[in-house]
Amino acid sequence: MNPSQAVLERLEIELRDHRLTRRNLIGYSAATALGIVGANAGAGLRSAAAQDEPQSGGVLLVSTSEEPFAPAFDSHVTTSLLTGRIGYLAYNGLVNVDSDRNVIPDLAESWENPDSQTYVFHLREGVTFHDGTPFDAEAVKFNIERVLDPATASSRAADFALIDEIEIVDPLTIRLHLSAPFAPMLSAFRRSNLAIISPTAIQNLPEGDDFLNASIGTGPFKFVSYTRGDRVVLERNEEYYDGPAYLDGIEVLIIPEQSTALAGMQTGSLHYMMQTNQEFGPQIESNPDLQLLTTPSTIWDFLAFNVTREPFTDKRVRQAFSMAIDREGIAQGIYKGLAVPAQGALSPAFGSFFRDNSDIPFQTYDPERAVALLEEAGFDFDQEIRFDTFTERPWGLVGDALVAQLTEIGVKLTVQKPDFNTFAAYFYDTGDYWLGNSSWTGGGVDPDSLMYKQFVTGGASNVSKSSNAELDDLLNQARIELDTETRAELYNQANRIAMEECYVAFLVHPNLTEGMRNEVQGYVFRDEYAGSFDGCWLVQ
Amino acid sequence: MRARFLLAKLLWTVFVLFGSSLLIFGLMHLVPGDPARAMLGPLGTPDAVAALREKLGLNDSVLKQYTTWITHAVRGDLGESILLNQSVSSLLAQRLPITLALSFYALIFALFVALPASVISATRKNSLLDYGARLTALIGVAMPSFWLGLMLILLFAVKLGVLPVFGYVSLREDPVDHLRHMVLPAITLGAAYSALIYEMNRSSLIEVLQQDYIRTAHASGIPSRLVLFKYAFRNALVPTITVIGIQIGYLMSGALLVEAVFAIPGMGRLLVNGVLSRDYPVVQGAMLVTVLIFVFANLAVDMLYTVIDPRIGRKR
Amino acid sequence: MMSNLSPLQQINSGATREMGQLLEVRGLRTEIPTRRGVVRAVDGVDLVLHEGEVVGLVGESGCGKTLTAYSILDLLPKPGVVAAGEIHFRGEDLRRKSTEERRAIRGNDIGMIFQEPLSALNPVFTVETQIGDVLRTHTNLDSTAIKERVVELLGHVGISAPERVARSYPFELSGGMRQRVLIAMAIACRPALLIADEPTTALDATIQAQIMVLLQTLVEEDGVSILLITHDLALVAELCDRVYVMYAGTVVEMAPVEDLYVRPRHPYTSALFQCIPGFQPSDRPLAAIEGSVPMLIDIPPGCRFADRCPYVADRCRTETPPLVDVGAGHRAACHFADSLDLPGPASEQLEQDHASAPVY
Repeated sequence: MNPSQAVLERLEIELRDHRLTRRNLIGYSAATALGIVGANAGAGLRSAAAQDEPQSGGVLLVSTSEEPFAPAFDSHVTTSLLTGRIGYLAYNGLVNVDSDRNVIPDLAESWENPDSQTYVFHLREGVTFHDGTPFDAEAVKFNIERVLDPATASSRAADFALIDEIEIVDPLTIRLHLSAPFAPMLSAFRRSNLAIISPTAIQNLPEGDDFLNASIGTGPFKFVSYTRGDRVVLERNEEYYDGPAYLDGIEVLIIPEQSTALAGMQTGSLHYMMQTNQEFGPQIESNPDLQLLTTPSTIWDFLAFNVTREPFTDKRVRQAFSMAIDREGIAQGIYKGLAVPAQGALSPAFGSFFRDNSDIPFQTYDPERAVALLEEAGFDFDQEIRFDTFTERPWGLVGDALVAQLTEIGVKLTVQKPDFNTFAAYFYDTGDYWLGNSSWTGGGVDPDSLMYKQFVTGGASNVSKSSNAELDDLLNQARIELDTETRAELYNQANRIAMEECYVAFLVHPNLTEGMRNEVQGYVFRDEYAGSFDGCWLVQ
Repeated sequence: MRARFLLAKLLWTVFVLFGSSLLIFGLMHLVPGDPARAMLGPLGTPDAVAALREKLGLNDSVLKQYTTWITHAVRGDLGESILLNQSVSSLLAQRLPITLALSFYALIFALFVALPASVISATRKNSLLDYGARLTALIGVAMPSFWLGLMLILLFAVKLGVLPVFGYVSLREDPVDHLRHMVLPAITLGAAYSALIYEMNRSSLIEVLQQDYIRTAHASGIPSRLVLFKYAFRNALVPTITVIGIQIGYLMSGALLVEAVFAIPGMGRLLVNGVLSRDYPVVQGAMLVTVLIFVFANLAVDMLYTVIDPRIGRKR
Repeated sequence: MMSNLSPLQQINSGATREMGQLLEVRGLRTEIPTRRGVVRAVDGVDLVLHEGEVVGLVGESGCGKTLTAYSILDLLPKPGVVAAGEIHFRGEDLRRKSTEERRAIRGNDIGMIFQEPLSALNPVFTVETQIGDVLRTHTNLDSTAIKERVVELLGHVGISAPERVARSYPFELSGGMRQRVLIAMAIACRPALLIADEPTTALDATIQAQIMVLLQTLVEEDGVSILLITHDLALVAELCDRVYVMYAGTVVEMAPVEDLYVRPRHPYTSALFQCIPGFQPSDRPLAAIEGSVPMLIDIPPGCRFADRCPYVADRCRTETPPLVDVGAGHRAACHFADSLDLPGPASEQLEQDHASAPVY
């Protein structure tokens, strides 16, 4: 396996199942894999100039462009990528993923699968929450049940829905019984997906009180304060089971404008931009004080067709629209080259799950064939078609590009471009749209999260409203199949159907991009929600 | 008569507040999207969304939600922010002073620049200096504050390194640092405002300087400086103050952008975030306060008129 | 109250009417640059005013009479400039003085009152403040003394409730009151010369008469000299000792008031009389002067009134008539001043008119 393949494979495990909310939409570009690509990739996903001995001390100043979502920092509820990343600093999971995207122990020292429907976790001894209460099997049970409780309204509930029974064997052993085999089960327990929060703190939180008072984990940093609109302050947990962190603390500053954050980083009043829009890539790269971390992702930008509405009931029209799109142009023009054209749902960053499907012509730019197809389908060029996009960058820019390119082949579009929340109301909720663009901030850990809900009949995020029995079979089969090679083949068949049918036009896979000052060392990327500052230090 | 004038103004204020609360509430609920969806994201299961909506009281009729809100509001309870998990009143108590401070400094900056410039322009009408000032003012009005803010950051913070890039330090914490953090935002917010005040005061000074009573003052041998700053200035100030008052709304809306650019945790950002995430209580609370400020600013202007110009409020 | 004004009276007490020259203007030329050329708004005006004398400066609007006054006071609106001439006040050439020195003279040695009593007062300050500022500028009085002096001045100009008026704003006062306030302001520092620019034009007849009496009183009791600028010949007849008639920027006739009324020597003066109701015999219709004042740019040689003059001859269009003596203290700028027998208002009529004037 050559180094780049290793990276890709690692990513496959690391990136996983992140739902598209406005928050992670905004954050997706950077919030994810802060790994390092290319030359740095082989260096073990650490920041570029990591050569000195780690030093203790210093407060790391990090920017986020979004206000954390309430209840902050209830990582069971929030689907926000950025809020999740802040929570990641204070919480642990039963398992984690390492830089090579292998599932590794975290609060669970070890685990076993007596059969395909049973998981036994052996918990770490002597771990305490920041409030001093012990971490044990009861705490794990409480956390799983809380996520499953409809009153919590957690959208992670689906990940654990197959858990039938939770059995506490002893204070440090917990056994889970599943109603059916579920391939993505183990990785669902990773640190960035199921945070283990102090049950005592949650139970004792008065109704209506600030959830920050219950944001008690076992992680390397603990919450000190959260001033709305201003900053979140965390300090080192001296009792951390893996030894205290180098940093004295982390302050996450809420800076809505990335231009401002970039200027702050240039002057040294900020060390790290938690989510860097690709458009700033060239500026960061050219600054000797800064380093740009960028890596291909499994995210896909897409143009969705409402297949229940004329003229998109006709496959040929969808294919023609898809072929009218210059994907390379979008990657270069809007993402400054920090994106790769997409063929299907699984990006090259997905390593062993990726297959080259370039033999299918419909996800490639070919305007002449697009026009021919439209003519063949008897497409009415005079028809006004409503196109939905939204103002937030870069989606609004992608939308503009799509409109320009579709207009180029003679399609008449009426563009609607409100804010994301308005857009989401009809694009995701009522489904009252013709065609529109968005992106899927998929999980990179398991392909299930990148395809199942999007293409299965009636899937929660099947915005195209497609229904294809063959595709359904493949996706369901892949969920219970535990052999990786067989799964990869099943997903590829499903992917080929999605590409052929053009339920969506796959556009590009934007890179994960983050900027930081050179003095930030030892930063390790693990997965989308998880920029790990655990072993990070500042050169002083 | 003055008391009655004020009473009428106060009644009008109550009416405006009530009307705008109705309007804000209606508009917010007309816009598609809701906080439950914003919190759970598009993948929130229909059950989860429904549960959250119920929990948040979003399933009640808009009218019922409004009456609940307004009855609490008149008792000073503006409710709880849905997405910030804090009471709206405490959020406003934290954020409003910051926006007011920013607006205050912007106003001071605007006056500090506009008034002397307008005097120079008016007394040297059509001179090179006047043309220069007018051109600068035109640029000031036309320049997007977002852009101006970034340019100021790049120049003073990044290139010269003399001022901080972003953030806010409270006056109590460190007065000097507080001011250092306020300089660039205040200039950004005050620039266009300053240009408007300048234009108004210039033209009104030019007009006043042609008035007979100015000639009388000169004929009486009153020194030019006194004529300008006492006799002319006060008369010219009436239209200028009108502009200052009406454009208070400009300051408040400008704060939305400027606070975003300089990462200042003011009310403007609270409002923007509230709108984007459909955080109804926050939007309603913040808008109500904004309307209140606007109304009171104009009330203050009305009262200032009566001080500056004895004819106003007395003559019928 | 009068006794308090005694210093003012003392200044002029020894002066007879024909004594020393207070103001002498020689060859005054005032120019206004415009886009079409330089307008000679005042072109070679000579004017003398003795101590205790009341001199009228009459003419149609635009003839340069007001600009002459502004030139004297250094109050020309921009871009007007005094291009030539001398302005001697108490024997000193004002044009050689600095701006600051001339400002100190204004309001102190020379007062001025204006046509529009409302607009001439600052609307946002009280009467007390405005008169007080004049006193503060030119005297060293403390604020108590200034307050007293303001009330005293208001009383002196015939205001019956001076304390109340002092605290009033101009908009709270009637037109006549405002003019009295303006006069009080103009005489606040006991000036030797008062320039009154159409002081009664904006007032109704009754008030006009009252103001005229007030001005008369100031002359008689305080010995103030007045340069009365007006287009109203009736007013001139009432108040003035001598009259200058201006036309198109030049003085066309100068005479003691009686001489002028009995026998005007310039066709323009005569024409002016014809325009005044009640000044000409009732069997003749009210006339208006035909034609219009020439543009004062690139003035051709000849008499400026030629185009409108009923007695015009060829010579009038080529040769500028000089201002020459045509009698005792009577000068006119007309080639035919001696030969023409021009109609003026009969002196009897003048007397009659006086008698019929409203009594105050």
